[in-house]
Amino acid sequence: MLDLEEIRSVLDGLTQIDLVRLRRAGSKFALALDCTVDDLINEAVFSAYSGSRECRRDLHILVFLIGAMRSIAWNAKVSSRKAEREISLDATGTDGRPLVVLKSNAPDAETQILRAEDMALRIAALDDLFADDEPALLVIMADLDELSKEEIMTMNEMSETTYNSTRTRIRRKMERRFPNGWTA
Amino acid sequence: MDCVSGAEENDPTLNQLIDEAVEDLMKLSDAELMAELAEEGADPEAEAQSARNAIAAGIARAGRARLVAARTAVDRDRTARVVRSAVPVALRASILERFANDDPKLKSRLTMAARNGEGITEQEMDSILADLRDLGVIDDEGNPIER
Repeated sequence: MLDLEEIRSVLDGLTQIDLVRLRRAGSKFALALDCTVDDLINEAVFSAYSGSRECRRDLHILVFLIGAMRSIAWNAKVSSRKAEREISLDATGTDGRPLVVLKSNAPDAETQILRAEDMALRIAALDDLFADDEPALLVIMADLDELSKEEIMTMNEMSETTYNSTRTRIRRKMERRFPNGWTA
Repeated sequence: MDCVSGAEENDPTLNQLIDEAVEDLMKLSDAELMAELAEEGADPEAEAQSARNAIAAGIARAGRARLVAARTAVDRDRTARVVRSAVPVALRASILERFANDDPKLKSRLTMAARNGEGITEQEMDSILADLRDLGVIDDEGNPIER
């Protein structure tokens, strides 16, 4: 694992194009969050530099940071869901023994509505962005349904070349529309 | 900064789109990415500088967190091992006698030690004085604290 000095050194060694790649990858993960790409990069570096995430010597720091940003983005949801399953041992029964009480099985109705509205806004923004590009819109909708590459290609009668070029078009348009993530 | 809130349960659906877009980006060679930037009229140095600033901010934040942790550890250590100047032996005895009048247990301990001709050891004296200090009854010099 890299120590702090080595992490500092490899970070200093990132080239201009590495940094562009880091920021453009981060802007995509920040689409799922309520912070900017720069906040997310900051958080990934903080996790490496504070020792909460260890960087293997054989891993390029750029790949490590992109993985860290992805993990931060995805785990934010997992930890939030775990918190909902926490139990409380505060209550006691009539026999004086502690009762195990589920704090909550699900988010409250208001939270659910806000989440649904938030997601609807993000999807609507993607809809608008690709309104004039039907193949891209179909691929995005299939992604939202978590279909595989093969299923998407079959369903839309796409060749691999068309699929790949559609993916690139989606990426580039997202980069231009959301250069700093969702919130910016 | 709050990176821990997001679209929550909906996110598994966004995950695939984002993963695919990042994968597409990572497949590009440096030259291809530079060509894309040129085509877009983007400023690679401005993007790189934003990333550099974010990295510097992350390092600075981690440094501050380490400093706070170190300071907390030192404070904890200081509380655990407070170095106090020794109170002279004569004064120590008079302090103990004064408090022994209000504390039958302490009085009997001192009387017993005197009867046996042993006296109370310095270590025992220090231990009792430390207890009195911790209770806030006397200050570091052994003076009673008025309440």
